[in-house]
Amino acid sequence: MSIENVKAFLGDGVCLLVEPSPSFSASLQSLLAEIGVPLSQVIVSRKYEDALKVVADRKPRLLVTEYDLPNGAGLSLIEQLEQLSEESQRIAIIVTKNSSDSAVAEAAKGAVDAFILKPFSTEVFRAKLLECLARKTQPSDYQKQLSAGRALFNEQKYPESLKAFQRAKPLDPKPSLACFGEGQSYERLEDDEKALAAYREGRKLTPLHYKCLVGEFDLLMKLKRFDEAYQGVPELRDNYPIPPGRLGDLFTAAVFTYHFDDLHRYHEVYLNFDMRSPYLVKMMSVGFMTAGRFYLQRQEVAPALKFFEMGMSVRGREITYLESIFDELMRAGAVKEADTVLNRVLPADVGTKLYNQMRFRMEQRRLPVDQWVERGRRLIQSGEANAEIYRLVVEGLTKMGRATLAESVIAQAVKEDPELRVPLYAILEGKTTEGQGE
Amino acid sequence: MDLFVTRLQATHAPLELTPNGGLEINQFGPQFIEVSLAAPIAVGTLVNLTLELRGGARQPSLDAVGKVTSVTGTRAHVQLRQFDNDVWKDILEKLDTRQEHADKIFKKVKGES
Repeated sequence: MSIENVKAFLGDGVCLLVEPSPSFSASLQSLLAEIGVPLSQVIVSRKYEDALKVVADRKPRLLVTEYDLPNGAGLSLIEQLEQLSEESQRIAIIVTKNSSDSAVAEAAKGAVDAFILKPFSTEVFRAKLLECLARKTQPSDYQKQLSAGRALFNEQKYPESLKAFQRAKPLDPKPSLACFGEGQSYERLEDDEKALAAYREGRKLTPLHYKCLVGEFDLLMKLKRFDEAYQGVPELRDNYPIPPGRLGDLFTAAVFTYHFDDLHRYHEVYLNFDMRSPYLVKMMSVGFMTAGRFYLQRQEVAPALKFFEMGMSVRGREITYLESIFDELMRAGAVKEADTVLNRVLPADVGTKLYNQMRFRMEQRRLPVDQWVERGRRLIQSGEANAEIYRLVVEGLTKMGRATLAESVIAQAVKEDPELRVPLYAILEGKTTEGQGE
Repeated sequence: MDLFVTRLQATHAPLELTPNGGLEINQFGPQFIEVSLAAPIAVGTLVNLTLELRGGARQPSLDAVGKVTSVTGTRAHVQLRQFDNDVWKDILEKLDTRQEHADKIFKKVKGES
């Protein structure tokens, strides 16, 4: 491969260089020129939005981009280009400061052809570009069939893509990628068992084949065969970095299969991410809540607290989340621990309705009945009571033998929620029939 | 891991070119580095410089004499001349290892190895 090959590949197409740093951009431009890319055919963008427009309008033959861009991601530019041009007609290279394993893995899942770390060695850049070029311009028969299969798959011609991948299999001694393509095609053709068999065949040929492992895991999760899905997780987790997009799936599988002991690992992975999507935050905080609740049901407060702590670190001290933990702990009779949670409410949330409700429930456990009933009535008067507070106040008043007052509280409750009539009267009447009333 | 120039001074002129925090190196080769400078520098200028590899457990540092062999805009190509070969080799190996680690993950996830 030489300068002439680079020029030939580029033809009259363009090279798009997306690099926010002017100095790296200048370095890359001079390197591209040395390798044979005419600068007149290089379009330089510093911003994601501008680059996206170039991708759409010019369909660059060569795209060199940073992984992390202001207001966007290099990967998403490459995904856009993937939709617009054939695999053999484009080269996409990431040149980045982001050296995290998860960034590398995320890039490798998509249509990225090479991943180069900054500062880059001139030789590495040159070698990788020429290597990509050789792959694109002189593919083996196996690679040709794979490309054909992928193109047909992207065009949603699944019976044809299936045949292309099957034709590829005899062309390589370990055709795991063809097995993966076969599995994907079978999935689209809704033949899940054959898809599973294809992924498993790929794994048999290459035991730790990432795409086949993930294909099998995703399919089993889709089929809700969670236990089977989780069996493949240690191989994935112990051999590959977990990118943000994958963590949520592994986490969900662990929760569904009661592998709560594994959750701390995912928590550590989560803490190392630079960016966390709101969906991941929600999924993980709900998962930690489930794990905590599970241990509370077994009356194991210490592990439950550990999971609640992790949940709080993921969700932040959001008051609705703290209230859920508080509620679980109170119901389990872990009053001291619930009080600790109450004390972690952010200063800005102290005095809010939710905070006052939690505080009342704590006082109800600690103060003499007449005092906490009085505080509960104040909450009712200020419109801050919920069903639980009505229930406690009616219970307290009944205990104190003040049935008339309890009845007026019930009347107030029923105005807010008619469905409270039956349970609240049941409390009152239960006590009265036992001869403890006024 | 970042490769920085923490000191860059012309040997025969009062020219101090290193801002606080150092200059980031964009590109390197077996015996050269490329840096972007805020001030102009002439081709042929001899410089005393210190390189530092940051971000690893150890942060090897290399003192060297270099010669500016080309300047394009604000970018200067500096050929390294007198330096401790072992330290420079150590720095290059660390950068290579980091790229090789990324290559390994990349190929495995791609399904190419």
